[in-house]
Amino acid sequence: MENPLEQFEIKKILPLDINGIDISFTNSSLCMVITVIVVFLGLCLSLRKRSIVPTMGQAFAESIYDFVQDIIGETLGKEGIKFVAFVFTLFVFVSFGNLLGLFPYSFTFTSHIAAVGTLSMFCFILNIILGIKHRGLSYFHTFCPEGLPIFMAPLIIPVETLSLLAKPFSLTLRLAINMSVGHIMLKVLGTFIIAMQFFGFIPLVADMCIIMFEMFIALLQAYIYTILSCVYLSQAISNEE
Amino acid sequence: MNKLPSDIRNMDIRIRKMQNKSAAPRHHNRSRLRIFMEYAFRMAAEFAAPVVVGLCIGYVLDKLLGTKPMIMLILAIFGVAAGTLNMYRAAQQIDKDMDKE
Repeated sequence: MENPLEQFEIKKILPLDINGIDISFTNSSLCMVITVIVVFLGLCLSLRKRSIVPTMGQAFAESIYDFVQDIIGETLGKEGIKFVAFVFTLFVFVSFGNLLGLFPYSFTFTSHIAAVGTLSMFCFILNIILGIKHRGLSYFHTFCPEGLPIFMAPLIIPVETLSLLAKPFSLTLRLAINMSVGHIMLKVLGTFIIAMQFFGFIPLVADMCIIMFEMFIALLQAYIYTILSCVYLSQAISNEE
Repeated sequence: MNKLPSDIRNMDIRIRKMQNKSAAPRHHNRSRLRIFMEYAFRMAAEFAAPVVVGLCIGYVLDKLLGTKPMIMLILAIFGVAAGTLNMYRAAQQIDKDMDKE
């Protein structure tokens, strides 16, 4: 039986080493580049002829934009309009990365904590910058709420710090684990198809169902990743916490 | 403004109404399945993440200071507390979202 984790192996395509730091172009980087090209070309081609009565391509692109705008309206309200470009990029990159990873011989970069973690770190840094910009020094009351008895501080400060640091990690963990699990399941069932010979049609049907389910999960996880990034942004801006 | 013909003024009022409408939160657009899936996935990670982060930071600090496994254990306990707090806050927000609908 083949190793189901083999599909997540990073392979160097273009080895690059600068001062001992490995910045090789890998299969993961290649898939990210392909995702960006697919999204860029797709959006450029669909929005080539902009008309009041949209073509199918234009309607598709506009519906994604509307969807992202809805998410921002729900979480950040009017103030969030300036983040539409950022959140749109996030959503499209993650969702297309998830979907393109389902193709045979492709690589799911969203199943890697390093790739998703970097994206989450961007959100996290933006979160802190916005928090300080909007609330000034009172942002640091997140760690030590006002009116807190001094003897409680050694307990509350580490708890609040961990709770803040956990935000990008929970975003990363949720997406990476969901993507990995689905792909492992597909691979394991795929090996059963050959191993069970005549009765191989049973895992084949199951595999087909799981592929459909994976497509749903790919989009759902991208949605959850996006909406929670917005929720964390709104928490940083608002004065509630 | 007063010199404008009435139909243009009406159109201006309608545009302003539409703009206000589009800026307002549109909770009714979210299907229930989407909302529940979001909450289900969120709750699990909200609890697990601080525990793992606490363990990781503790592990690194222990290695640097040679205090294995004291800091890791302490931060794991703080992680559980932070996870519970995060879950409580998430539940509060879900409650608020439900009330809005």
